[in-house]
Amino acid sequence: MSAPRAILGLVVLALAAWFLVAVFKPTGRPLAAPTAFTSSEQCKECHPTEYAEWKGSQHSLAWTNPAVRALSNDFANQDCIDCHAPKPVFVTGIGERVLPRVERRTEGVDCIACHQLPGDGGMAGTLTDATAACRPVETLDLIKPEFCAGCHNQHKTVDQWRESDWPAKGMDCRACHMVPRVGSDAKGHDHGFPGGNVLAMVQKAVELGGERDGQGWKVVVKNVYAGHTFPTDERSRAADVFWRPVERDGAPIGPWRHLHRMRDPYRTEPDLPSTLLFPGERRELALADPEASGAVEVGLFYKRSPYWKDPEHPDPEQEAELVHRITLRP
Amino acid sequence: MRRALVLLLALVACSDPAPPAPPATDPGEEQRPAFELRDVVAARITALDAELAAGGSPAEADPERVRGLLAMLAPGPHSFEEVALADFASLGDAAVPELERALGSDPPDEKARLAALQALAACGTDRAAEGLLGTLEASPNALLRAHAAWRIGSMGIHWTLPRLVLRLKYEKDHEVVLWIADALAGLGNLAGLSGLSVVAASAPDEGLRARASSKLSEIALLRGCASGAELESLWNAGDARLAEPKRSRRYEREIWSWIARFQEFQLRGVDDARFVLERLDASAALLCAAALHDRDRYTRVHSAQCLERMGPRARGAVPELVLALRDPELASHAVAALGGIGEITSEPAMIGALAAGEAFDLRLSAARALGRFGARASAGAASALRALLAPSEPLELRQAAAESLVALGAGDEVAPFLLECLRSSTLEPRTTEEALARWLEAKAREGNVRAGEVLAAWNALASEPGAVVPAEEQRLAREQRRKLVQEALTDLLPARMAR
Repeated sequence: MSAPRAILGLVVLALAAWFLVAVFKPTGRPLAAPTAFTSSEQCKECHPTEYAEWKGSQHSLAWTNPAVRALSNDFANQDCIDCHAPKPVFVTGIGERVLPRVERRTEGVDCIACHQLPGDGGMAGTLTDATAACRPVETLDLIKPEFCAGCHNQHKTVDQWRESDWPAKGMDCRACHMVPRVGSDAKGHDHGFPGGNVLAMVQKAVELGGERDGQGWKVVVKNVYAGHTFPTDERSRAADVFWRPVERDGAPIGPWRHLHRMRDPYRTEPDLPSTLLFPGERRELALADPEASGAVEVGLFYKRSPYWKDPEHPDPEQEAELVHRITLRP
Repeated sequence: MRRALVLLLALVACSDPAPPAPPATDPGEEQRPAFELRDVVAARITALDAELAAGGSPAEADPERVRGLLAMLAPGPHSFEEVALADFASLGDAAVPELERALGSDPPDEKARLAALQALAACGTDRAAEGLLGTLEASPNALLRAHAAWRIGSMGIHWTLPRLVLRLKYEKDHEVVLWIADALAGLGNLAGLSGLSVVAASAPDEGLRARASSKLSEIALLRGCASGAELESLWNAGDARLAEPKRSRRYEREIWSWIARFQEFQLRGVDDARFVLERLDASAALLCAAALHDRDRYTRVHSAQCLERMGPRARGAVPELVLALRDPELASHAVAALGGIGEITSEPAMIGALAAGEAFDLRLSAARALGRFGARASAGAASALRALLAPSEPLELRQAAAESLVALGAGDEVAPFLLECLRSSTLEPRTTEEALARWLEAKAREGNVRAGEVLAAWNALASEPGAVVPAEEQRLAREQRRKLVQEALTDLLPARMAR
């Protein structure tokens, strides 16, 4: 054999070898087999941070929360089940109304409800990786407000956001309720979903103030940082403004007196108006009681059930959460 | 070199870089025909609208004449009431516009409005009935609403029935509830009986309580029952003695419009539709059964929910519900409906839904549904449920099977397992507590003294209805209950099981 033919043969063999290695070389990890995820507990192993955050969230408590159980009469009101134990959102469809699931209801609004794709399509996520155990598929729908709407637009929360100027400011649901994690090696978004259950968020959402108005006061409540009404979502939520006269030294005189309630009434309360505070709305409440001519203390309280033990003599300090308290002096 | 290239090509041809093929279906799996889906609701509404399309409305009657006739309805020594009513009957729709204006008179004149309601009823037309329903649904005056309900009942127009039923959800005035119940009963629907019982028991006015009680007795006696409670029991059982009157095509059209509301996004409309439909009777059940085939998944699911809540009155829907077990989206709701209806003929299909190859939600729903047969369930049902107690089965399914076995009278076998379920942090505890309470009640009825003692202590741990009990407090109460029963097991179980 001549030298050039030998060299050419070696080159061909080298190319062939390279080609064969490229075709037959193992990828390093096998493709994950489809897995039937029957509990969000299965997600804990690979996603401990997200799981821990979710476990402390209201989504996790959607079925077991004592207030929910009381208000739904232990889900004897079966119509509450749709949102409190929903089928996977991707099964019913983005923006479509959710439907109730039968199994694992105690897990509430869980990982599977938000991430499971139809069939054995894997899990919706921020990247695609066919070798990962849950076979995530990059799904942008996860970050859209329409994704939350299936449950949270039942009381028009997402519509309230759409009609506000928050979309124009580039701030959607996640901006407040699923903030990016902080820390040098942190990534992803917090799955704790803070909302009305977190006092700091409620305090940030609304301001309480007052100004003199003749011999009385004008109490001012303003929705400054909620991308929706205050309160929003479930009609059981109520925010109440109370006041009472105070001595010179600030000591209260007598019990709290009710001034104004902000709430969306139940359907069975057709005689009550809706008094929700809209995004950006500034509401003035006249306080013209003769006993309010001097210094007064004003409190904004928030509660998740609209009823008082004694409606004639409500005790907000015992039955509600104090959001803001101010003292107005002439 | 040519040989090297040929070898190379041959090797490449033999490689299989494609991902592994999905596993083939089990060749032994029966190929069941798919559950047929079609545009049921839209098609029926279109067909009925065409059939019911009315001719043009008659010209409006002279308003002066109508006002004159209204004045004749005023009580007095020379009342021409009968003459006026006869004239309104002959005027029909022509009188309605002026009567509706009279209903909205400003300033409000209650006597004039009451006369207008009476006149509308005398007109006797569908349009007049709409005017009366408008008052019932929207007037702030309870007296007018009560009269409107009474007058609607007197017209005997069946399509008004669903809207009368819906008022039971929102009406707060006891007098109005009484007349709604009366109107419904006159139309052959007894959904108002429970409201009437509440008024008879708890209305603040003694006279109203007496009238409600009297009305309840009257309705019951007319149907050959000794009491309202007996009649309500027959109604809920779909007893054949309470034959449903023949309903009109307009009534059917009305039902379809309520079924169509299942597709709404806002649950308010869906909830209203479910409230109405689950309180109707056999003819509505057949329409919901037909709606099980609609392409819209919400229509299918919510129709099945209504059939479940209708209970035995929906027994005509059983064949379609059994077919619906083939629809993966609908199956778990269909089997729940079969349980709610309780027709023993559906038991084999429900047992079939427990099979290992079925979807988990269907198996779970079937396990729960079989429990609703109670003592009527067959030995086959009990065996099938027992098979689900195997440790290889998911815990939630085992829990459901055990709870159902209590309802079937086999509580002794599963009580120890249910006590363990109460310790689980993943299972729903309420249904297990209910099952154990039911078991204790049954044992107390059999004469087991210890069961009676344990039950009394168990009930003493109950929280007040509607109270918000913190989670830890609930957990402690549950643990106390579990210990109560655990410590008494030797006395509660038969000797052979207590060992």
